Amino acid sequence: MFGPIALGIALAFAIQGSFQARAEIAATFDRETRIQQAQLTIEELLRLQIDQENSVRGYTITRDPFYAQEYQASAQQFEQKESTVRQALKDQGVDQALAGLDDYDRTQQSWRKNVAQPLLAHPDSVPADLEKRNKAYSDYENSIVDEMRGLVEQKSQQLIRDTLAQFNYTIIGRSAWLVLFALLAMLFNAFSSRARKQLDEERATTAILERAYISRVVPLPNCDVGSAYASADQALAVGGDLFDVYRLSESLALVLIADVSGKGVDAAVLTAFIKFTIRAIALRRREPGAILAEFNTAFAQTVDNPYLFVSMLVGVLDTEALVLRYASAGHDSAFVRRSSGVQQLAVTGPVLGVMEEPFGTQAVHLEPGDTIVLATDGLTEARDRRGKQLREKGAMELIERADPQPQRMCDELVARIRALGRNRMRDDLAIIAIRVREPEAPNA
Amino acid sequence: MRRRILAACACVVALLVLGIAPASANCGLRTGSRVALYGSFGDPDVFVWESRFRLESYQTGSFDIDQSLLPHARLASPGTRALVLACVPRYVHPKYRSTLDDAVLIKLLGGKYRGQTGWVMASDLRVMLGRL
Repeated sequence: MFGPIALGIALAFAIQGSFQARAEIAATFDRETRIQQAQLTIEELLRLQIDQENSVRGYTITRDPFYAQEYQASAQQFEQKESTVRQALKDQGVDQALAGLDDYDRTQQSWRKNVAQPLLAHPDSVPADLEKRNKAYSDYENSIVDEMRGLVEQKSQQLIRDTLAQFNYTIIGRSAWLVLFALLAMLFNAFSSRARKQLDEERATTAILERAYISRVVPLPNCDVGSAYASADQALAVGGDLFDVYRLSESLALVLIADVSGKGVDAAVLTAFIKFTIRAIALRRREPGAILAEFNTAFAQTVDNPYLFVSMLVGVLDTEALVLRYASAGHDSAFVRRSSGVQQLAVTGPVLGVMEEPFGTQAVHLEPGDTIVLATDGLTEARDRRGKQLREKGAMELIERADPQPQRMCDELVARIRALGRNRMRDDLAIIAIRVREPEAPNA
Repeated sequence: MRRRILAACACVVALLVLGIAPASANCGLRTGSRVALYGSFGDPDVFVWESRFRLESYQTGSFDIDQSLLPHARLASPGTRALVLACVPRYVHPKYRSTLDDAVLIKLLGGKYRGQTGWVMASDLRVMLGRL
């Protein structure tokens, strides 16, 4: 799971990095464009300055008012462009160039006051050193503009250098992150493969044990017997569900269903222990409560693991008298389906392995056509797609609606539980169904 | 007598070599080069200064100082021909420029001020390739 998540994070990171780089490029282009505009406007200032000088010269030579108007227009445009350049230089933080612009503006004002306006007012009184003064102004202003050009160009180069450095930082940083994610993903993948291999090995061992100890249904007189065992899905650990139908005599049969807490090999091994121990006790004792009590003692003495406990129902079915005597150690997934409805068999004691308590025995009288349905908690704790458990009520409804033939009933219940979880079994499920028939008349 | 005249000439040559030639050793313009004047910054007219100190003051001073210096300069038209007499390398540092410029002593060979000498910046001179 971590692999796809890491890949997703890495991809998201790469995409975010692309967008960030794009934003940086856009910002750089924007700043560069503004600086270029400022450079162009500075050149325009110079052109307007020369236009003003030429207009004044033209007026002093020709007295044509056109030149005076040209001078005014150029001066006005000069002021506007000067404001534009000033704002652009402020925005880009070129303070030194701003100082030069102030100097430029002062010189331009001085030229207008001392040279241009007197000449426009009195074009006949051209001072002897006019050309020199014009030249001095021009030199000074050109020097300032040259200095400003250099400063703005420096700023532009600095911007490019900064942006390049930012790009390099971004690329190196992103690459480092991607390498880190890749390493983490590889490490996790290796860890995950190892864990999966271990789980598969354990599951294979457990499956072998289950196959070795799983009960086969034996035919019983006056009864039809069905059973089903469904394992949880591959990804989940195997549990310790167990059932057994074992003939104790011509008319008596041991019926057992149990659910061992925990998963894996330990639970699977314990099922074998339970099956054969219960059979051995049942061969000596026919009282289900006594069978459970003796097993409980053996269990406590044998199993050291305090986290292991067992819910179990042990029954002794008399196939001639049609009576089921049972004891239930916390196993509540046990039912009898009758023509009048489905009845849950009461629990008669606590789960095994917790405390030493006496276990009561109950007797259930059966009628021909009645069906005993014993299941593990895979039935009652099955969840639907919204996570809601089926519980006893839902299980009883399923049993009531199921096919009356025991084997078909078991298969149908498994199919419904599988469908309930969208073809996914979260837990193992064991079911036995025993339907009693009218006892056959004894042979004459 | 003849020997004395030769010695005096040798001294003059030595003085010229020691006084001017070393000064122009790193200049872009050689003494004796024929040049034309052309202003390097916008206005093509060129100020020709009475002394290299005034040239320096003009290039490095404030605008008010520049105005007061104007009586000490002649304004030569662009294209005026001249002869390089001497050169002082990296002498002028114009206020708004990052590089130093050479101060060059020239003799004007044409225009209104023909025959007069004065100081200009090397960047205001263009070397003439053909005969003047």
